[in-house]
Amino acid sequence: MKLASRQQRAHFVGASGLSTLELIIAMALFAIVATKAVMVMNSANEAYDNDSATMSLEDQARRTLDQIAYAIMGADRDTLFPDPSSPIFSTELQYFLNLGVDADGKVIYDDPEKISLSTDETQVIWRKNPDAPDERRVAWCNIVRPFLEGEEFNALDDNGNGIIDEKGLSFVVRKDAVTIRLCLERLTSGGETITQAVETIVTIRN
Amino acid sequence: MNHDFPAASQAVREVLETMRNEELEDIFALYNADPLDDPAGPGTAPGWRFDIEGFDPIEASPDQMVGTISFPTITPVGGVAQLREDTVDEDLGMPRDLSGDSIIDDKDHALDYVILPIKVEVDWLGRYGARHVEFFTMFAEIRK
Repeated sequence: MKLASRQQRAHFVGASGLSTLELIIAMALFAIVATKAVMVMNSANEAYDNDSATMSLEDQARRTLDQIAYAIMGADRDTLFPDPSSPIFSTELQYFLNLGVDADGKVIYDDPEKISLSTDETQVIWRKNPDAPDERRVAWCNIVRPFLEGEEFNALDDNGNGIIDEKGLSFVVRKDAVTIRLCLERLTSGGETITQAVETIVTIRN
Repeated sequence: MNHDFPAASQAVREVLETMRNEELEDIFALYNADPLDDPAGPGTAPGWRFDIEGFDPIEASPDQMVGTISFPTITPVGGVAQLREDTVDEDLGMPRDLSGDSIIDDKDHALDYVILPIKVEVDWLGRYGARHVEFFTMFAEIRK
């Protein structure tokens, strides 16, 4: 027994360290595990970026929609131009805000305002005194999609909302209520296109 | 779940804006639970229940919808719901005068109200169970 034990010890002492083959296998295993870990981290980061970008886009869409809704809410119904009823829509709306009445009971209006798409149809533009020398202009948003989500330019109601070929910003009026639809689109940092469509109804108060 | 409350709030706002687009005198008949008093004929009005896209109804939902519109009503035994000034509901500011005669009585004011308190509730099944949110508002006639 003692002799066998000595022979074993001698064998282990002589074989100390790793062989080249063992080293290569270990490195390969490590590389596989490391690659997997990096891939998981990358996809998690990508998912987080996409979620974050989607939420940010939805916030922006809602904020712009609220700005439009609150601007129109105080308008005088009789001053709305054009007056698009479904299935016709408009990408612009001009209106006057009713400021009250004077001593003679005559309605006093503020300067005209207009909300519309820009010429290239990517921006929502608010204007006061439109087309006048003293026009004021503010871009409320600059990533408007060419058409509403699910809609294509084909003279059909592709998304089934009752409106045909509606643009990324559209207004439809029914009695005193204006339905506003807005669709934004942008690229994420990973190059993916994300789209957010929002819609609201606002009833004109004056 | 955090996203649900703003979405519910937005949906309720749209419902209220849609209601505001109707004549005040028709709103009670259009949005109460009784289909027989609908202005354009029985069963033609939107009614007291509404749905919100993407919201799952709770198990107790009678019609798989999530939203409920209600008014200060009292239902006499064997009768239909009456719009009443003597309803007790602190959230709706009741009892109060609804017809503009400065008197709080026990009559049905479905046809002569000038103030209409409205409660809108949403009950849905969220990720962590049943959720509930309610909103109160009041429509009034503005005589120009």
